[in-house]
Amino acid sequence: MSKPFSILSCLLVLAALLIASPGQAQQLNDAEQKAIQAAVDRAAASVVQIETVGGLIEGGGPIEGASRTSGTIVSPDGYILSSLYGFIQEPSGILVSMPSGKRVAGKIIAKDTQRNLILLKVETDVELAVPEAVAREELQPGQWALALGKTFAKDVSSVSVGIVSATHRVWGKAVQTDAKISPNNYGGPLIDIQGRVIGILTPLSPQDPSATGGFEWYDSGIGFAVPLTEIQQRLDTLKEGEDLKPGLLGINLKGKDIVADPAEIAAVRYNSPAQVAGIQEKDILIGANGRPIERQAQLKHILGEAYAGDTIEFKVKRGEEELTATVTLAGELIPYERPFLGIQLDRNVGDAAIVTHVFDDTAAKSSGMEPGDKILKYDDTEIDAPQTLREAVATAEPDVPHTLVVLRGENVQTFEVTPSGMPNQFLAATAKPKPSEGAEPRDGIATGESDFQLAEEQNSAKLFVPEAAKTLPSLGLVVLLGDAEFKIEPQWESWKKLAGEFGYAVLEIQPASESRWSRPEISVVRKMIDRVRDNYAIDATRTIAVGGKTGGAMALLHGFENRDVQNGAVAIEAGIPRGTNIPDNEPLERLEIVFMNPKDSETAEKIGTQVETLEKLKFAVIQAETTASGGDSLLSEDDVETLSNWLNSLDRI
Amino acid sequence: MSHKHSTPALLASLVALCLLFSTPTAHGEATLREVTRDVQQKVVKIYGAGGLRGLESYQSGSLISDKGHVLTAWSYVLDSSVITVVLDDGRHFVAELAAADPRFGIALLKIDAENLPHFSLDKGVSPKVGDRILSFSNLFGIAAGDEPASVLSGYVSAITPLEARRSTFPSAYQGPVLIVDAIVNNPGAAGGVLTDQQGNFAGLLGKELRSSRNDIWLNYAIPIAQLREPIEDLLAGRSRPAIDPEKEKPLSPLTLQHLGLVLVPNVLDKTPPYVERVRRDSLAEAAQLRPDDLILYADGTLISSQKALIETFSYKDRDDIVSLTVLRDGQLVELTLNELN
Repeated sequence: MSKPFSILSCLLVLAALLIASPGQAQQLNDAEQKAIQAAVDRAAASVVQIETVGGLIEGGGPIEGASRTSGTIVSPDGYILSSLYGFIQEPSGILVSMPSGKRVAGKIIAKDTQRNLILLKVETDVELAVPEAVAREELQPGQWALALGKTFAKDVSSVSVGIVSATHRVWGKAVQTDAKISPNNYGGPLIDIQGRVIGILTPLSPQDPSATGGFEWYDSGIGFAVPLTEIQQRLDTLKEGEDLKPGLLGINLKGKDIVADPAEIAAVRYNSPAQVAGIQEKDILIGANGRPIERQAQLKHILGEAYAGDTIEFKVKRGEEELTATVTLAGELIPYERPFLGIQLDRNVGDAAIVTHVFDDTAAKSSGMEPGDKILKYDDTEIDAPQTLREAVATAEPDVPHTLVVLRGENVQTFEVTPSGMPNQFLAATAKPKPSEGAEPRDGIATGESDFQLAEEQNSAKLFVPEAAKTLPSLGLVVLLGDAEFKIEPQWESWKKLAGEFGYAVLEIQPASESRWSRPEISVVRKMIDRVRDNYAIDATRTIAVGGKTGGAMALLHGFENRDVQNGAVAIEAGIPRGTNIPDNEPLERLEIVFMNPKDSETAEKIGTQVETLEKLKFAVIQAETTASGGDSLLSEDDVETLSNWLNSLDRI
Repeated sequence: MSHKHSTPALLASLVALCLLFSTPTAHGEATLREVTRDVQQKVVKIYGAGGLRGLESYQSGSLISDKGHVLTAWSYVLDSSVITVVLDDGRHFVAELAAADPRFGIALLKIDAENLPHFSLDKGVSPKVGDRILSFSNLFGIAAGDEPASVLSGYVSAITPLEARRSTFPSAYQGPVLIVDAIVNNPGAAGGVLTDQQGNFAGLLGKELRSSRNDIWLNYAIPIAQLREPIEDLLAGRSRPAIDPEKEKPLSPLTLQHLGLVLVPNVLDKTPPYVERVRRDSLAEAAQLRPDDLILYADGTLISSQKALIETFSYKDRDDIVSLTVLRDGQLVELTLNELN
């Protein structure tokens, strides 16, 4: 054994002590207590209390950062690591209580948004104690793990005792522990029984990459620490003020089951690292840096441990061939703008793309396309369904002409089209959905209004399904999210009235508290939408969430995370809560956003920078004024009709 | 570093370790079992008012004398014409509310029984951070009849004042508390007991509290050292009145206007207390406050926003000497309000 002071030798000494005085039953417990104390004493001098002052809360977000957090000293000259969680409100003052008792101003140097850490710097004239770190290769699930923090007191570390639960969690980003991890020790270290630092405590979540993702697990026995030895390797980058970001490839994968499906490429973004390296659609990634990739989850693990700027050598299977592609991961992708051809297709025909509407001032219109045209080919892609055309247009090279072959009457014609971006305004109304001629009403489809509740959730909800559900091949879905200030009740009838005409179901969901929505309820909204989708033919491209105040924030949050079932979000007098991770606009992931505010509303001004950010990311964003004239409802009947028309056009290509 | 070498050595030591450990481990556990059983007999289940709007109608308590005195938390559960105490052995008693001290959130019940197993508060202990503790209570009301109280094991995480008056925690008690890493403060747990691993009384589990600073539920107990005096008073039958925090505020408190201090417009939930302007010949000017100063502390209390500053000032008399720490050009500067010179 090369480590002279390993856990085992420690325990052996401990056991020997016990043997020396057998029968003293309480001694094991006492020895354990002493071992814990000794470990804490070794690391405590490197833990500091950090106080933050002021800051911004924008857009009515439900979560705000703590004003007190912990940090771990990582260099004798004053560099300190902490969790990004304590800094999401962008504090205007940062104060660090040094081990000497002195309080000094701290400065933010750089952030690691991949693993939710932040590097601070304080001026110090004495050398600070830097803790010893332990590499995660040496860790074993089941061994002691102690979580330290200094939010309660400046001088004494708080201690929570547990074990290492797993060594590679959240796509390999962190070590998992069952010690109680919360804002009371985020930023502090997780140490082993010898007082060596395993990692820095921070919330993390496999689903939500934002700085607050995973916060909902506080004190639950599920906590994470980012391995210190791995951050130490990148410390020089951070010290130079350079942020560490997730490394991006620029691909979409085929299939949703990441633990079963292989990493087959469904789409490659233009000008992305993957495309530059020559990776193509239908390629399968089978290895990276010598590690095998059999399932998509393994690729996520490899990317979870990597950062922007890292180079990965991929083994790629193309048909029968095996190739190598060397990719340098990017911190940002050139934003993807969804190309807009300017047509709508017949929803009653599933095995062909038949144009029903051509929008004015679009590529389709100027090339001479007409309703009734049957689209046969887009460039080299044979079109056999509306979805094939949708994907072909979405993944085609931007800003260059494409050829389109159509059947008009008996003639095959070829057009040249250069699609532009999606419009940032409401388009003129298109035809309302009609069943195909002679369609008989189907049996076994429940219509009308019904209460709706999931057994395991407190949120109450109700669903309205129009009679049209029996004859239309698919329905749109409007999810209404109210709260104490934005009430759904006064507008419920308006939505119901138009539901049949525009062919959508209406689902109203209340927040569990009945007054405001909280972030963890995203999963409740998703479960309820899934329940509706299980029972009815719902078209995801025409599924929108409409909410006001905290419900508006929820409409956006749920939309960002669930673009496979929701393609539109309407936020009334609401913005994106601080700390939200806005996903990239992607060829195969679509979300269009409407911000609606009453005339002269302060919210409209406040969300200005958010709209700019979204537009920079090339999201289709519409800003509109509500027309309600006071009273209970923020949405008038006209507003409901405007939104219904918008929903009815969302499956445009 | 070679794994091949270390593996056999590792196995050998593990085997050796198991042999060495077998006896003491068994003993360690036996003691914990005995301690647990012993303490459970001193913990009672209390039933009273509640049941409406999600409020529980039960809590926990402990026997602290051989004359049937039960120590518990002062709460709405006791606000009932009939309070029932159920002992560990399942015996029911109608209890009488003997006395209460809302300052500490504690109350004393009396049941008509003698020579019951009970805690000796003289043997109360003050555990340190990192020490193992046990918690005994009827959390969630899951124990009924002769079922013993639930025991949880954990460690002392921190010892810290509650900062109640700063409205961080909505509690009348403001003294130090033991923060633990077991999830001990659940519905029904109030009035339960925290002990060290020898079963000595270390603290009383308080009502559920959520920090308004970071929205986190707190797991805590009031240390016995803080409770000795009030409990003696209760045993002597002396109740204490509740304190209205508003009454602690001075009649003419310190205000921004009185100081001649103008902060930047307060438009956000947490607007930082930046100084916008200092009126001429004002107290603020005398204290050398300047525009663009960011006020960080007042008398050592962290000021997180303009709201917090105004709240802190409202507890100061307008003539009190108040120390301020401000951030000016990246440096901390100490200033004093109302200094006589």
